[in-house]
Amino acid sequence: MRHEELRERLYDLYDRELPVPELRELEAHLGACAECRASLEEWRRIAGALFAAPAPAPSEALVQRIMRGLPGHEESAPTPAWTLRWLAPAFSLALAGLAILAWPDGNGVSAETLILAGGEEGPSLAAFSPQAPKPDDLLGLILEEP
Amino acid sequence: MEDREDLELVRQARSGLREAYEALVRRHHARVLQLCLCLLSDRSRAEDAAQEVFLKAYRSLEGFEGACSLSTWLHRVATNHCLDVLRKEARRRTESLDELVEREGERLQRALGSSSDPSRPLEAADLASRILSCLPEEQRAALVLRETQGLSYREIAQALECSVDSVKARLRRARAILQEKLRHFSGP
Repeated sequence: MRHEELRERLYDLYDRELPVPELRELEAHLGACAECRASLEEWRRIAGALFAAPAPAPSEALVQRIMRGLPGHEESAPTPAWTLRWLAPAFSLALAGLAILAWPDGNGVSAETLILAGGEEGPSLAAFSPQAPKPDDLLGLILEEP
Repeated sequence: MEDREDLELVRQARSGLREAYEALVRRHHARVLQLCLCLLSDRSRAEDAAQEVFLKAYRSLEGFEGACSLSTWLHRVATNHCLDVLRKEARRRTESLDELVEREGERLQRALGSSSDPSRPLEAADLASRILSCLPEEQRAALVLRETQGLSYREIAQALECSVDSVKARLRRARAILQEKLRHFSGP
């Protein structure tokens, strides 16, 4: 083979993909051709730098993440801790907000009064229902003599 | 031997044994992650991709015929997934290899020059990823499969679903581009 043809096969030699007869021929050529030797050495140096980073270590966390993501995984996705931390105060705030909305005039009726007005049947949640009475009606209900 | 064990685990996983699939994930996830990392150049995205690859593989397990090794099959699933990701992002890519070489000349000199320190490969890792990301996707995939996964031309052809001649052509072009652009920095 001529120099140009042999040079085309330098990468095959580097990749150890040459059949033995061609390998022998190319090795003999490399012994005599400084240009081909330099080119092969150049690629070895570039590849050595580009692909020198070590392979990632096995990761049990990734294995578990992969398994959790498969269909039919038994456990439901864990609720992030921050959601739980903020759930209680957020719920309390929402309740307080609803109570304030129920008395836009600020007429002095406390939440405690509202709850106690349920009498023997327990606390009334009427103010939070979709059919909530108007504030004046509600006040009348609360102040009504037993 | 490893291939035979893989086939047995595949058989068990198909019959619904999750522990068998977990064993397969444990055996192959590091190489899949490495491939995704080399193709996507970002650890977080590579982990997302690896998770997606094993989900796709799980769903397609019935279609695995054993014509190639499970490892090569996973490489195919991973490469296809990463190439899809890269194609979707192609419009966002702005840096060419010429621009990168011009901007990072000093670092390239340190990484590729004769005085480079082979014990500190990580120093050049992000630069290496950026250089590889400048190659056309299919050339990059062939090069990464060859250089980091050690696949033969035939295995790369199976993974990329192309001919061996096409693999050789992609490797030759990728290497020629890199040698031409980086030659200046790699001299003794």
